[in-house]
Amino acid sequence: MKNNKSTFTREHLLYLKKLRTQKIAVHATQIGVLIFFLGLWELAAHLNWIDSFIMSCPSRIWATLIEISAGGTLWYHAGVSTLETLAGFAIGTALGYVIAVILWWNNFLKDVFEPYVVVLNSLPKIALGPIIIIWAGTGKAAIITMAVLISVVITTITMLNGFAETDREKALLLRSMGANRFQIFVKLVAPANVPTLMAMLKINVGMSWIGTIMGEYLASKEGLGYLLVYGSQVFRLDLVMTCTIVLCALAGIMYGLVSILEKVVVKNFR
Amino acid sequence: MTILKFDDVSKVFYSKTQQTTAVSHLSFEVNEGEFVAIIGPSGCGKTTILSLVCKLIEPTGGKITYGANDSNADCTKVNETENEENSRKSESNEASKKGIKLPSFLRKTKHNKNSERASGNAVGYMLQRDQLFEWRTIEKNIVLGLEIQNKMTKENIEYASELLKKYGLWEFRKHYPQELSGGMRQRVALIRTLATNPGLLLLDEPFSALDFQTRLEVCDDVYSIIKKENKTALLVTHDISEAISLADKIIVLTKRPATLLTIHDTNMSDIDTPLKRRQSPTFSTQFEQLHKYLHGEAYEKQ
Repeated sequence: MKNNKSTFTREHLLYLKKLRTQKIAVHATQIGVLIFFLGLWELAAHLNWIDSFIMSCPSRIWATLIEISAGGTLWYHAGVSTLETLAGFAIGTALGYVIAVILWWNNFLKDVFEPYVVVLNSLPKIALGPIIIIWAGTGKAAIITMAVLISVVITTITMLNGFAETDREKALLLRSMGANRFQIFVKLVAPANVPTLMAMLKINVGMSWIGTIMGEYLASKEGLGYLLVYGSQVFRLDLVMTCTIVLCALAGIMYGLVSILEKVVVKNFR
Repeated sequence: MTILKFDDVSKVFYSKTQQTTAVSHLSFEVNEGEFVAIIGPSGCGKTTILSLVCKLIEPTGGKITYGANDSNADCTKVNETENEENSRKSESNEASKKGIKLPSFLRKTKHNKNSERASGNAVGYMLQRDQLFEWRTIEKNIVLGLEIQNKMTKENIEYASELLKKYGLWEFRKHYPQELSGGMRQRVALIRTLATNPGLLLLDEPFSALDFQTRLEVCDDVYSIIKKENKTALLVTHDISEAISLADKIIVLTKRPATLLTIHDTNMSDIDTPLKRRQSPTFSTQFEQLHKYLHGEAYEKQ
């Protein structure tokens, strides 16, 4: 609906103003909570309520952040991790989607592979770490494999459920028009499951970060996970905290980008 | 001319624990231009009959023929296209059984060569709910059948657009289904069905999802559209009054397994709208008569 603001009634404008005020209040409180928490942390460290060597504190984190970003260390490690995550994210989601399509397409294969998928889903993927290291080495390949493994099974299960729950009556309509399975997929099942796919992408942002960091814990010479482990081993909690916060920021940004993608896709490409 | 002929058709469904006869030795005919209704107690296998007509399922026994009789020389052309379509269908069926995806160019019908517009041979199925695709605009929804059948020619798209204009939906063509009222959506669903120019329209309780007030209105709408476009229609319903107000001929079925109980002629072709038919003096007598058929039969079985 296209509406011109000038046509709104006074009551309507008041309502909109109320909505705006509410939104501002939420954001202000969010920032307030953050400042309060950081302030309390800093204060506690200064007054020696907590040991800042073990707990670190905002000012020390800030100093570490400046230090490692100025030296380029941060950018290098963050870049490595981001690339690995993006690769794991893309491969895991695409592969999971393709497997789901194949299992949807062929009921026999679905019946055959369902128990395997279920078992693979329950298996803690980190248990595969040693095997992955032996097979794929200790480099990027191993870490990306871990990220893929963590996202691919859940993608397959979620997408397959989405496909299976697509409106049967609509499929009946298409079949009465003479549609084959390929057409039913392209015209109905795929577009009907765009929201499922978008929700899946959001979940996979988290999944692929888990995979990457876990992979880097197990074996690596670079990346934020490596930096985290290194920091804890030399007991530089400032470094550990800084890396954690950088991780938060990166995951947040990635999630935000996927949200934007979701809006664009749902609006234009269905 | 006979559009559809059921000749001693039976359908049996099998499940792990039992077999169910849904339709048993059913014979009837639908002639060109007729509006035929099928009524029967709920769960008597009406939807099975529609699925049979749509070729979504195969009959267990008997024969279903479309178009004219095979011996009728006047209609060879119709039969040719029919056979062509059949052989194409069985081809694709076989292929899909083997799990092979048939590329779309193989599925292309040859209709476009013979005539500019779609052939008018196929069956158009209108389901209980409108089943509009909510991610498609109205104008994209109505060409769905054309897309599936690879008939997206300029003429066919223009025909669909004309239908939109004719039936007051042109200004909504860029809208999405959720922005339309229930009655309008049902009209869009009808236009989508008509767009492929089917020779026979199948209506599966198309008004059951609407409230009574809207139902009467949409019923009038749909009837007048079908009559104006000069279509043959087969309506399946459990609503006796709906059947009387719409149909020329009513096929009354027994409880499951569905067999033919009687064929009732409404004799109201001189009355031009369903609503007016409801007000006709014979309406209530016919209603009582059909009601007795359905329920008298039900008592006997018990």
